[in-house]
Amino acid sequence: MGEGARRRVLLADGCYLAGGAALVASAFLHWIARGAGSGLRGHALIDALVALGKHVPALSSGKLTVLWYLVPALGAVSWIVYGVAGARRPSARIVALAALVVVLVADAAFRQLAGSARLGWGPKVALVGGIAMCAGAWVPEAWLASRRRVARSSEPASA
Amino acid sequence: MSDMHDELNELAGRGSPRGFDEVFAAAAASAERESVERDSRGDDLDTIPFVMSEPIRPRRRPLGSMIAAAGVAALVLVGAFAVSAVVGSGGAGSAAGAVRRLADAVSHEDPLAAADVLAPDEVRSLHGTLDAAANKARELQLVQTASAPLTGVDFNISGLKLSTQSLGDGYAKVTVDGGSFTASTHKAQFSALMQKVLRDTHDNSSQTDLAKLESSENLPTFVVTVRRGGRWYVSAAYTVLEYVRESNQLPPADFGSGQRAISTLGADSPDAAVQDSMRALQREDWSKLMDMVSPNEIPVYDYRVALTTLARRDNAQPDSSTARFSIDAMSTTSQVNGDTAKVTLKASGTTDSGKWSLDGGCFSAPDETISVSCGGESVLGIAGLASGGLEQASQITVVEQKGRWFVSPVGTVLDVVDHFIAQLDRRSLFVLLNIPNQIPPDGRLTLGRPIVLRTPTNRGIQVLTFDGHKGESLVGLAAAKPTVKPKSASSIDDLPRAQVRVFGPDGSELGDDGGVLEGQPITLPADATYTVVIERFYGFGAASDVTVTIWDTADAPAAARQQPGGVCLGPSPGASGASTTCSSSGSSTCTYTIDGGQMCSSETTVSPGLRIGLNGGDSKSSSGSVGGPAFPPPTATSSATSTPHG
Repeated sequence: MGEGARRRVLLADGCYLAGGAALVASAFLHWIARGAGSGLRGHALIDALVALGKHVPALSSGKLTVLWYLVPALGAVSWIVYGVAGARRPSARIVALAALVVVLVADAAFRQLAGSARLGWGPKVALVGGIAMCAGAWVPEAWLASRRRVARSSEPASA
Repeated sequence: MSDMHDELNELAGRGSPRGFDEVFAAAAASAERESVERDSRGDDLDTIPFVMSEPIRPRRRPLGSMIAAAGVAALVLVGAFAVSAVVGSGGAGSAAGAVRRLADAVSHEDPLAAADVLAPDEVRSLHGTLDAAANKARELQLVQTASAPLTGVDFNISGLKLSTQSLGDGYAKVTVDGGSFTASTHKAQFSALMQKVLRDTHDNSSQTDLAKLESSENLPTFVVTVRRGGRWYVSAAYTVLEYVRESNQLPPADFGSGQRAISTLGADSPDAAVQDSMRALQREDWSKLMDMVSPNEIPVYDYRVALTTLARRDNAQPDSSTARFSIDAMSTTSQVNGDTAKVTLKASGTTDSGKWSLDGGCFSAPDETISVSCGGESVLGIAGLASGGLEQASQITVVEQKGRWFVSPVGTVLDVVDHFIAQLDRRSLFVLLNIPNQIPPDGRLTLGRPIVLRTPTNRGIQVLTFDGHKGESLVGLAAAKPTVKPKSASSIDDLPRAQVRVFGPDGSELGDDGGVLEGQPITLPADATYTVVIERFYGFGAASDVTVTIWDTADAPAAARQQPGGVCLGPSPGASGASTTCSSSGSSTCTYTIDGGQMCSSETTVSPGLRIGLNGGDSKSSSGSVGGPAFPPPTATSSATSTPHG
C-alpha cells in the first residue's frame, strides 16, 4: 500500500470514527435550541414536547424515545465494530447505514415536534455524524480502487 | 536393530565427514548447475511450483482494541444516561451545578427545564400547570407555539461566578459573586395577538448585575440548594426563608429537622390536618401551624425558631393589629387519591365585626367587602371569567408523607391556578390583556336602549358596534341591584359597577378617562364604525345583573350627565320633553323628566359610577324589574336625588 493510499484509508477511518463520536456527542447537546424542553434530554425531552400537544404520525412517545437513544448508541456501536472488524467491513457499513437512517428519522421527527427554527445543535451534529460514518464506510473503497487503476495504467507509459 | 546398523554404515560410506563450509559450497554449486540447466532448457520461473506457506493470522491492532474498548465505554455511558433519565433526570451533581442548570434553563427560556432543577417536593405538580398554561396559551393564540411560549423574549445569564457554603448535611448556600442577566424583547417575533397588546411598546433590552440584586438590603445574591436522592436541587422555599431570616437577623435554621421529625408532625388524616390548621390559625398558635405544613414542601418547621421570633417581634410592635376570629362550627369532607387528598372546608364563626362563613368556595365576611359568591360571581374577581367549578378550585390539597398528612400550600395554590387556566377563554383573555375591542361584536349599540350585563350568559361583557358621526358625544348610566343588602352603604356604594370604553376603527381608545358612566361624555372624532365595550366590575359585594344605558349626550337624562361631585351638565338642549334641575353643592338634587322615560318612580340615590335605583336597583324606589331584558322605553316622568360622594 502506497503512502497516498494509506492516507486515504486513514482519512476514511477518521470519518467513520468521527461520525460515531458525533453521534455520541449529540446526546449531550441541546436538541431544542430554546423554549420548553431545550434543557431536557432523552425521555424527559420527548415527554415535554409531546405533552405540549405535538406528535409525529406513526411515532408514539415511546418509539420517539427509543429513536433518540439509538442515535448515541449507534455511535458507540460504530466504534466497537471499527475496533473489532474495521471501517469497511459489511458490519461497519450496516451500522453506518442504520445510523444515518435513524438520524434522518430523528431529525425529521424533531422538526415536526419543535419546528426547524428551534432545532438545536444535537440533531445537526448527529446528522453530520451519520453522513461522515457512511462516507467513511462506503465511499472510500471505490475511491481508493479507482486511484489504484490510474496508478497501474500509468506504469507502462512511464516504463 | 541390524537394519538401522546397515543404513548407518551405508551413509558413512558415502564420503568423508564434512563441515558447514563444505556443505554450503556444495549446495551453491548444485544450485548453479540447476540454474544453467534450466536456462538451457528455456524454462520459465512460472513453472516453479509455488509453495504455499501457512496462512498468517492478522495480528489484532492495538489501536483497534482501544477504540473498541472506548466504544464499549461509550455504550455503557449511553445506557447509564438512559437509565438515569428514566429513574430521574432532575437536579445536578453539585449545588453550584444545580444553579448553573437553572441559569441555563433561564437562558434558553425553558420553564420545564427550570422546573426540573427545582426541589421536586416543592414543585411536584408544577409541570402539569406549566404544560396546561402553555397549551392554553397556544389554544388562545397568545403564543405561536406552546413549546416556545417566550418567543420574542430573550433571556441570557452570562459570566456566572458562584461560591458554595455548606449549611448542613444536604443543604448548601450558593452565592452569586458575579454574572449578568440580560433581558430583551423582539416584538416582531411575538404572536399577532401579543403584537396587538403591545402595539404601543418597542423592542427594548436591559441588563442587571446578578451579584447586586439585594444590595439595597446589604445582602449578597444567593440561592439555597438541597440534596434529594443524591442530586442537588434549587429550593425556592429555603431561599425565600433564608432571605427572610438574614434580612431580619433571626436565629439560624435547623436544617433537616422537619424531615427528621416528620413522623411526629402533621395529622392522622386529611380532615384532621385541615381542621387542626384552622384551629391553630384561630389560636395564633404558629408553632402548631408550622407542624401542619409539609416540611418537604415549605420547610417552615426548620425555621420555627426564627419565624416564632419574628412573630413575637411583630406582635410587640405598638401598631400591630391582628384580626382575631372564632370558629363556631367546622366540618370537612375529603377525597383521597393515593398520597394526595382534596379537602372541602365548611366553617363559620365570628369576628369583631360580625359573623363570617366559609362553605367551599363561598366565603362571606362580616362587612361584605371581601365576599365571594358561588353563584354568578367571577372567579378571582376578574370580569369575563366564568365561575363554574369554583368550589372545586377552593379545595385544600393535603399530602401524605411517612404516614402523616400535611397541608400543601403549593398544591392548593396550583389547583386554583389550574382552575383559572381551564376557565380562561378567548373572551376572558382579551379582557385580561386590555384589548376587549378584539372580541367579536355581540351586536349593534342602539342609543337609549339599555344593555343587560348578565354574568352567566355574556360573562359581564358586551361588545357592540356603533356607527357614529363626527362631533357626536356619548354618555351613560349603570344600574345594579345588590343581591345582599350591604350593612354599610360606604362599603359598596362608592364602587363603580361598570365602565364603557369606546374604540376607534384603528383600535385606539377614545377618552382615556373612561368616564362615560360618570357624566363625562366621549366625543366622536369622525364618521366611523366604533367598537363600544361595556364591562361590569366584580369583586366587592355580590351583585346581580348590571344594566347600562348609553345616550347621545343631547338626549341623556340629567343623572347621566351628573359628574362625581354633583356637577350637572344642565338641561339637555333639544331633549324632547326633558327638564332638569340641578344643584351641585352639598346633597345635590337632580330632577329630570324624560319624554316617554320610565327610569324610576321616586327618590334615587346616585353616586359616582353607581346609580342605584334607575332600574329599580333600590327596593324602595324601584319601579322596573332587575335583570329584565331591557329598560322599558322611556315614557314616564322620573326624578332623582343625587347624593354626591366626594
